[in-house]
Amino acid sequence: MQTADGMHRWMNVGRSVHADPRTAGAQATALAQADRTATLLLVFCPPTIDLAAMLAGICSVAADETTIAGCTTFGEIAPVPVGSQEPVPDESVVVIALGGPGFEAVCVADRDVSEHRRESGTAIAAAMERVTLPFRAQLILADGLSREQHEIVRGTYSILGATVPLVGGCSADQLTYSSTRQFHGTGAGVEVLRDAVVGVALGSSSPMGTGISHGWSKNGDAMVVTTSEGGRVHLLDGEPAAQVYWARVAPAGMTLDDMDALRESDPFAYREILFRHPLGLSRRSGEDLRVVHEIDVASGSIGCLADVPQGALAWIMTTDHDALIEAAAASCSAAVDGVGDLDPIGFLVFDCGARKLKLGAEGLRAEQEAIGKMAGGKPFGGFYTYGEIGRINGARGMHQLTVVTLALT
Amino acid sequence: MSYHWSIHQLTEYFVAVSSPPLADGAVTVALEQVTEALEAEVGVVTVKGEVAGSVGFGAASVPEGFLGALDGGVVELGGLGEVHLAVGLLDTPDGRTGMADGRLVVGRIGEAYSAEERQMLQGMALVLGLRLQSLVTLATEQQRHRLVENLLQIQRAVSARRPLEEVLDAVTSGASALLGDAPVGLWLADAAGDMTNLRLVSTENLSEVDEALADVARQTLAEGGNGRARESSPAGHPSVVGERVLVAGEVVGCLVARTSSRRIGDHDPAELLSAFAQQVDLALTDAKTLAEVRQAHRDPVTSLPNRALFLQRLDQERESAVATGTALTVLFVDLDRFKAVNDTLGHRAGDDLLAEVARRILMCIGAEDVAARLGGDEFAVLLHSAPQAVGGKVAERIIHALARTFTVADREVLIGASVGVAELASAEQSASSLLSDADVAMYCAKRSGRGRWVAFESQMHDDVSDQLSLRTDLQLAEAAGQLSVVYQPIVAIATGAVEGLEALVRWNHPTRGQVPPSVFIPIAEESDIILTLGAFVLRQALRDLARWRREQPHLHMAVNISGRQVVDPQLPVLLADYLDDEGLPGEAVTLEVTESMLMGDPDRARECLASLKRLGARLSIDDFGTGYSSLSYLRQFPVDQVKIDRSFLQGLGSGAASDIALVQGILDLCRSLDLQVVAEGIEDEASLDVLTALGCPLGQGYYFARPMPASDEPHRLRHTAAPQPRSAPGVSRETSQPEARRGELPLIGSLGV
Repeated sequence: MQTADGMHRWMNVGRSVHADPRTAGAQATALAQADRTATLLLVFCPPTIDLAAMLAGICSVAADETTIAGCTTFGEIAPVPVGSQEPVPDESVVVIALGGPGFEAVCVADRDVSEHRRESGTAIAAAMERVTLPFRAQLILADGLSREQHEIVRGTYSILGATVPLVGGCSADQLTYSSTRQFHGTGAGVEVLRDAVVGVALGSSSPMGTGISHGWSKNGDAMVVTTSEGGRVHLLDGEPAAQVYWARVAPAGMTLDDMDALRESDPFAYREILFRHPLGLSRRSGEDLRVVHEIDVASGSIGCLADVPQGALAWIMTTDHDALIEAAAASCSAAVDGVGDLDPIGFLVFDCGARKLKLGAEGLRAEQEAIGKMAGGKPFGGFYTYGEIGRINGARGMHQLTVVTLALT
Repeated sequence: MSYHWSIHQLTEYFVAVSSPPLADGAVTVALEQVTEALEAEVGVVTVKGEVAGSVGFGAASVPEGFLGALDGGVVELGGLGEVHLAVGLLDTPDGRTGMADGRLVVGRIGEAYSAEERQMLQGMALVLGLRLQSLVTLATEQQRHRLVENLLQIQRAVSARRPLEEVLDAVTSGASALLGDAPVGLWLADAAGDMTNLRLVSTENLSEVDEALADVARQTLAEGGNGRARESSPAGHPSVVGERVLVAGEVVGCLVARTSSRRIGDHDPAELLSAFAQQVDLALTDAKTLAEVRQAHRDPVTSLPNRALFLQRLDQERESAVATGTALTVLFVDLDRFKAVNDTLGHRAGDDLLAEVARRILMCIGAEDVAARLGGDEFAVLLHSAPQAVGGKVAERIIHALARTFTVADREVLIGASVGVAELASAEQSASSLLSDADVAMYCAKRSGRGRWVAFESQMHDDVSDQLSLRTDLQLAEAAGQLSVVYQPIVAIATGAVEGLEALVRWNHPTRGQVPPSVFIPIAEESDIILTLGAFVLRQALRDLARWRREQPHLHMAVNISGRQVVDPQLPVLLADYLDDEGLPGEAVTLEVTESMLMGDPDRARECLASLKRLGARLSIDDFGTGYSSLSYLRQFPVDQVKIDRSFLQGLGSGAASDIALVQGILDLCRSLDLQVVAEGIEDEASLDVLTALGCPLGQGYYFARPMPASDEPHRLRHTAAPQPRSAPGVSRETSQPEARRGELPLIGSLGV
């Protein structure tokens, strides 16, 4: 469609649930491109699929010069047909295509991120030097298992500064926490990476808007993080963190030992309990959420997916379906507000995997319908992550249990 | 209970800022924490007016307007629009943190800072100021401690006389550690002091030669002033500092470092480097002193003690021997053919040869003995508590060791040695006198054939004194007209005709009379006198030959060549000139050499002889059959003629079958190899008869004629009918009366030929 500046930028999303991975890749790409040649293809898929076959299918449709980036997920986000009663596919291949004049995308990747997170962040920021168009945003797809991704974000921020919004998410593997993958390449061939960060520098001749929202609120009294190290909290209020935390969140009748046993017997159920009770750290404009992903009974500590600074004040956070759905819509709405009176051509959505777990199947559909409604029927696509990246104001850019939205015009 | 986020985040902030061990880290953490807490877009910390850290500006530098901003102000930042500012001071009004002029400034779009936020910011700024002050103090103390430790370590190494390389490495590694593991290099000028020719003698953390550091080294040395140079780049980026290194006030090199900090704690990196450069001065000065001391007593080529040190040690040993009544023996070792090798292969090869000689001598002596190089090709050995008999055994070992082949400049050479052995004669004899005795004995060893040892006897002094006097006189003999050339005919045995002449030198000393060649030729061969002597004989002989060939066009001249001449590259040049001057063909000249002359440096000799052959000259092996490898020389060298040594002829006249068989064998061999043969030293008719029967073509000896001067016209020895040979055993001849021969001229001087 012709945009406000007269350019024909376009964005479209294709989803395929075909059992054959190559066919799924080709189908999703064909749907997304709709006989056009994309400048950028973002690919999101489950970790269980044959990635090589899927990417081969994508490359069979994409032009050699098309930039391709993406990662594995804890679920893919794409428009749900209005009025459809079909459940949101648990596993699918979603391809987001962006193209047309007035749109640039430069992609770089950095490897071995867990050895030098900040340096990796600065490395991917270098791609922005090649963007010539005036409106810019940095898309970051980091390995969700490399931890302390906030250092990556700080590294990128140190180079790009406050004038470039940062959006993105951390790759996931459906809560198995074993191995996630990131994609980097072109239509001529795509690398499958791990422990990497893929950065896509986006340039547009029209503004882009971002929105961040989470929908969680404090529950109960605050706790002081007496001792912590990175994402590992050892003492809360001077007591073993595992005990303090469990005392506040334990389902009726369930002991810590029961929880410990559940960890082995039913890891999914184990994490479902934990993901319902994240920590929130006191911040100026609301709480900074931290997903608790494990309770270590032996050491008496709890493990969070992002850093919990020593000395911080923390609350157990709570939410409900409505709040989560409203937050998704609010994030999209904030992104729309960010572009003023301009009409978006599409949205990128990065949603926390823990929210998906909380939402369940029905909640998932409702969330994506709400996003679609707020998007005004425009295409939207993304994935459920192990962490969301969104820096719009201020210097903080790493989030959890949050929805980050980027609106393009 | 209500909680304000600012209070909560202060605790996080305190903990975070306290963690980094260095100031740079504390500033970075502080800025990140502050901007995140206050949701500010940008932040900067300044100390003493300079930017110590910033966040949110990306690659752009911090605008001046931001730096000078007041608390609560608003500035316009490109790309962000209007930004609200808040400023926190790193120091209290009474200067408790010591961070005067330190500021923490943050900027946020959209919303101005509340009072609580500005209060929190001020608290954060003070905490940062305190932290930076403590880090500076700590860093200064640590640095001071490190500097002292490093310098002490280096000084200890210098005092302990550790190898110079070890000390220099300690300097560069210490400097590097103090400058934060900075790349450091130490360049020194070459031994000649050429400042443009610098050697990199020590490095630390320099992965490859850093041209920028090398350039600063050259620049530092090229500039005057305080000897310091610096290469600066934009603030915060690596710069290079250099400091001169001096030895005894003289500039000898430069210590250079690349540092990424403008200051290391409280110190300018150049000041720290200067402290280390002074340690290098100390180390080099000490090493130079040591080297100078060593040089005064050591031979630089062989590292053996020199003459001065040897005499010192000999004197000490002499006193000890006298006091204890023990024996003391000195060996004087002189190399036999060193000079020829040195002249032909060059001084570098000569030095290598001397070093190897020294090594072999050391292998022949005990740990308590002392070997020294006296100079040139002379060595001395002091044998601790050893009588002359032991000295003789050691001398044998040394002679044997030095008789083996040496390989220098990819050539195999043989030199050999002559040794004099002298034992301390009395308590009154001085060290220098003892050494002199050994020297005299060595001289006698040379006289009696070389490659041997001789024990000193008291009358040797007189003999040697005489020899030295003769040498001096010989050097002047040609100029004084005391030298002459005489000629001995070489006769065709079958016909009695004079086919050629052998030129021989004679010396008529003004007071001694005719000096036997067996006396003065060896003296000449010890020095360059033999070359001038040889040239004299060659020139004279060819002059006379040219005159005589007008009557006898096929006459040829045989000239003896010495061992020195046979490896002298000038000999072919000389011969070519003389042949040209006299209008003679090369074939008119036969050069006679002995096997022993070729042994010294066969390769070199081969080259020289090949050059002579190219002139057409012929080569004759004198004293054939007496050497080690006569037959191999026939293969190796371009021989045209063989002279059967006189010793093989001695038994011919008496019919000794073995002698006849030997001569027959030599003749047959030479026939089959197409070599001309001359039987030398024919003194009686009986020998001549045998040789005639055996078909020997040429002969020379008193029987035909003694050597005679040119004025006697030896070429005109009249042809006489060949004597009818008597039957030799195994040889059948017709008998005839021998024809009368021209009478022999009186012998002029004794002759060794």
